Amino acid sequence: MIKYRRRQQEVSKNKNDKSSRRKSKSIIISSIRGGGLSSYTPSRLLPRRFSKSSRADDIIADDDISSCCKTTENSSTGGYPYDAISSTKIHIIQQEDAIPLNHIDENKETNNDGICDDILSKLINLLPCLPQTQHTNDISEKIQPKIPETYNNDDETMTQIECILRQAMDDDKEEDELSVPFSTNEDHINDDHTSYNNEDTTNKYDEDRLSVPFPINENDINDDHTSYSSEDATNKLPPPKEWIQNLLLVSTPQSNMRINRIRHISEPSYFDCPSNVSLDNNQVIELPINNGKEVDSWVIDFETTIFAGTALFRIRECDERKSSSIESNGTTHDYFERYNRRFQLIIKGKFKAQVVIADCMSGLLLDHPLNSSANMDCSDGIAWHGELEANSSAIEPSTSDKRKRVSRRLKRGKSTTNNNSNLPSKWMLRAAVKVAGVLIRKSDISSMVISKH
Amino acid sequence: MIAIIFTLKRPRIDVDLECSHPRLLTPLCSTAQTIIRHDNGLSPRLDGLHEEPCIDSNTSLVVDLCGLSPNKQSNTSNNLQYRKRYSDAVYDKRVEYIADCSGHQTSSTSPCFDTDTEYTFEFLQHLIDYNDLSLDLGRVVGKVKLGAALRGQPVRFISAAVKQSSESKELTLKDVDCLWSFDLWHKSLLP
Repeated sequence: MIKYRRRQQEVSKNKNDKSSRRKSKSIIISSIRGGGLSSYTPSRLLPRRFSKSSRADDIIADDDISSCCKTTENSSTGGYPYDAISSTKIHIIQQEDAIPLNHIDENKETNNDGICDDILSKLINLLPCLPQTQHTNDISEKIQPKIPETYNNDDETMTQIECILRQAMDDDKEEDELSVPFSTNEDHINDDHTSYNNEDTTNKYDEDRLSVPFPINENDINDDHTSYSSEDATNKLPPPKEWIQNLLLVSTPQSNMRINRIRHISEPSYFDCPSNVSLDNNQVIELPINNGKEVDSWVIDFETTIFAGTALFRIRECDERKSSSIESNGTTHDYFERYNRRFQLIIKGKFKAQVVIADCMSGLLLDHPLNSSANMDCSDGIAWHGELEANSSAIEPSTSDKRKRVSRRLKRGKSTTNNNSNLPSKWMLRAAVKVAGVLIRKSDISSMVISKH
Repeated sequence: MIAIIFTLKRPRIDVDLECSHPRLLTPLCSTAQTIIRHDNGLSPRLDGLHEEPCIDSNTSLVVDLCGLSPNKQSNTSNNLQYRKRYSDAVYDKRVEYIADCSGHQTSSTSPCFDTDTEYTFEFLQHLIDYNDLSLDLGRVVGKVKLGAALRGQPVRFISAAVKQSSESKELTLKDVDCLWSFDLWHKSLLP
């Protein structure tokens, strides 16, 4: 029993010491409150997990009165152990809350050692929004922050510092919004994605800022990239890092083709629901490519002088359009699953003028000459079959030696057939060409270029 | 080499890969894997499966090509082959007509696309792997990368009506009326 009493005395001593220390703290805290305001720590900004931490008492002591009262009630009704501890300490603070602001002045006058000033200055330094340049004797001037003009006096529970912090957070948000790397066309986004629910409009809008094909700000593109059009120097391709997909599909400049709308196939087309808002075709517009796994594929509404229609591109194993990844996740749909084809282009539309069928051609038409075969290095052009399966970044030195050796032999016009080379011999190539010629004679050339399946 | 093979084996192909404006063009209606026409506006979904309609059907392009028979009677029952042969016949006749009139031709003798009809064209490709921009020639030859040959130019999917008035030998974008034209860029094409 004696030991127990001694322990109780020690505990009460410790409590008194702690409470005396906290007393000085609470005095400072109450002084910061400015007398009339409730608390200086924005309780809403404190995470809840702090209340269960080992230093919960200190944190709760810094919290506002309303939360303290609640904690006290909880402890009286039987709560967690830490609630009881905090309630006692809160009780002390509640007593100290009655200490007026002038108590500090008195304290300061009596304590000329400047301890209170030091603590205050440290506290003030911790609050970046408080003015720290002028140090006057009047503490109320020191701790009085500059209240922004937008300070809301209606919310009585909100302190001045809370307002300032909130203001700062709002400013940060505005800065973040302004720092979006590309300029976006809100009208286009709203116009092209009419199926969004009103509930999550803001979230989806943010997501689609990165995913919807947007006009790219010319200023963000470095000048060292390939000029998209030699005549229109302002149009530049974005660097590959900024591409939405691993491939970049754009409309050909100087082709008089206009992109009217980029949409999901389930949405109404531009020709069914024309709108005044249109895409800025003077800038590079990244057109969508499907990989065959989309449930709701991306399509492109376009128009030229003699044709108007909708295009759908599918390329096997192409990167998924970012915003469509949500839709395809969990689905087993794959267009290319049943076919060997790697590419599909479907165009649907109407001719705007009388066009002779026989005059219409399709294929490849380039603006600049190709690299002639004489200038091409076979070792660069042909990828060895073995390399394709291996990781390209980890090419063995022997492979590069092999390349050089074979390319030297090719330049000398000698056969490359040996035990180490994977290239077919000349007679094999000739035989293959002959066989291909016989097959081509029987079939259509287009079936060679364009696959059947 | 490729151009020579194509030209010898296929006279309707227009190929010149060594000029200042390289081209490899084939008649649109011979190139497309599927062509469907719809008068009533009930066209199929773009992302659905497309099949070449029967040549007796109103949805077949042969309706537009009617009145012309292929040069060689086909013995295949494949609708696709029928349509291609009809299209080739139309193209051959057109070329002959242009040669006879020395460029002063009219479009009255050659069939035209109907402006009230909706057309669906499907193009397929299995040789080119666009993800690494290479020509896949099978296990024997392997893959031939196209990036170096293109010299920083994109792969272009173009369909256009050639202006017969142009007398220049080399076709450029100014000499054609584009139906559509898309450029596909691969990162290997950029410096």
